[in-house]
Amino acid sequence: MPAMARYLIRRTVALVAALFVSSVATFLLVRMVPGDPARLRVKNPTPTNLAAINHRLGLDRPVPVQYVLFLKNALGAGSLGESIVTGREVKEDLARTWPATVKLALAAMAIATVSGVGLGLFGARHAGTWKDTVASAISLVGISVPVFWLGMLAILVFCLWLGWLPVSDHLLLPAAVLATIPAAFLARVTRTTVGAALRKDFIRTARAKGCHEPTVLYRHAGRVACGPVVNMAGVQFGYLLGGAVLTETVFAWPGIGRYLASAVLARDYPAVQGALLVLVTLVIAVNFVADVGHHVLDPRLRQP
Amino acid sequence: MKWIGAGMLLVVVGLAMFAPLLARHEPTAQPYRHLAWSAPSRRHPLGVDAVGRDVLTRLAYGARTTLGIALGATALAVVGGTMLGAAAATWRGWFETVVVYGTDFLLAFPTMLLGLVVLTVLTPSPASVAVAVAVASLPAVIRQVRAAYRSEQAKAYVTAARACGAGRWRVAVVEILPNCGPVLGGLTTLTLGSAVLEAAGLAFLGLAGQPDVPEWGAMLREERSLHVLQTAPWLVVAPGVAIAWTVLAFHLISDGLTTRE
Repeated sequence: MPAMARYLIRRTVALVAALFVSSVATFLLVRMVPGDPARLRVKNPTPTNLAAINHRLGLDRPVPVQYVLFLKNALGAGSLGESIVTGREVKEDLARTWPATVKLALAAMAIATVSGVGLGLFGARHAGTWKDTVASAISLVGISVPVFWLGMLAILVFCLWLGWLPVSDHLLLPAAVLATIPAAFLARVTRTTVGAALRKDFIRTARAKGCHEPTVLYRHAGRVACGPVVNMAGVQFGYLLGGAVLTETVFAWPGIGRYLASAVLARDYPAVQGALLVLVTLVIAVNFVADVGHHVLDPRLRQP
Repeated sequence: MKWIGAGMLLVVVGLAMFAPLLARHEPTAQPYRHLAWSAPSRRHPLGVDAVGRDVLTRLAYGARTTLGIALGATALAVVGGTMLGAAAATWRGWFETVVVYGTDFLLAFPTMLLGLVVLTVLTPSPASVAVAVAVASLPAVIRQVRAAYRSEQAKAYVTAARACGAGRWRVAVVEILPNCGPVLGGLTTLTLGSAVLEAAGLAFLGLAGQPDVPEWGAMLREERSLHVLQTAPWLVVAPGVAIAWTVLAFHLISDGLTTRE
């Protein structure tokens, strides 16, 4: 399959380009910030003091050279600088926080996929009835409710009133809350694509030759809907990492999203830079996997 | 469907417009310290918050802030995005390539992350939040407008206009733009909805500036501690309902404008 190989090569080049562009962007972002980075680190700013810090940080060199040094440090030594607030290596903070975020995002994605696709299929199966209307209403409300508020309500009801779950250190509640928006979007995409597929001629043929309804729905219509749903799942997984910033803040989840939010608030630029770099790389990687998955699942995309 | 949405929106706009009439208190004053955390009552229909401010007053003035941010952000995003998307479809060539690759690249990122990036550079304030939300919404607008322009360009009336000697500018502005009206309408209301959600999210993170700015997301930020949830859970209800209500209204209008029964 040379077409697939060509596609993979093209997509990999795009992946590398995206990683390069985003590393340049995060690097430049911190340089665009108003104010002198040396001044933020020193209590009594004298010219010699500032010059020494600028030299230590490499800020007295041309910007392209600074970028190369930044990349060399990041890739070679794995160093992303020190946090202004804590004085610790940003790398250590990130190494501690990113697994929690990935765990949360994966759990949320699992919940979102099962409930979203389920709701969408339910709506498509009962198209035009009141059940369909209720299913679309649920997904419409799902994309309208702010996750941080939903999180607060969930803590209130399940932790404080019913006492079913502990407030912190429990995966279920934050994952379920984080899953609402992706689940709602997945439900809408599933409902639309399966609904459209069910009106095609090959479905009428399948029904005419006596396939029973679940086979028609899952094997015939479901197969067609797979590609767009996988694609949407990839996009939503990226968005989960954004939603994690809010969800982690509400649930005091020790992940990279909460780390980023507090770093932006504290103007801790090296920490912002490092957290953005990790999140952006995750998003790009996930999109790559989803795009290739869509390609594998949908042979129509492979036609020249 | 869109009429339900419009009705719901009218309530919010009314709340914002008649804030001084509905609320007999100053939004930032703290005159009821002795009543802090008190439950809803006849005098304070939504209760009093932790530092002694009337919650209904905060909510009504908060409608102004939140809607203001969303309107400003959406205006920036829709006007800027329409110009860029239309220009890309009209001039084609390398310019279009750059715009398409740029928007595709940015669309991969969660809007929340793009908003945070912008707020890293700007000082926290409602205006900065509006700019951040506008930048985050821009790629989606550009892509949709460009797609709408490309499909309109294939239609006969555009060929007819060209045959009559209309230049690119005339085709883009006088011929195609009015025909993109429905697309732009749906897009604008959709962007308004997501802008409210995102602005509230960024304000919840504390990036809308001073804590006494009445803003729905910022109000929830003040009530997020377990202590408040335990002692005065009613304080958490109103701002969240207001956000969800407004976003739902915009989504209903947008769905009604884009799908035809």
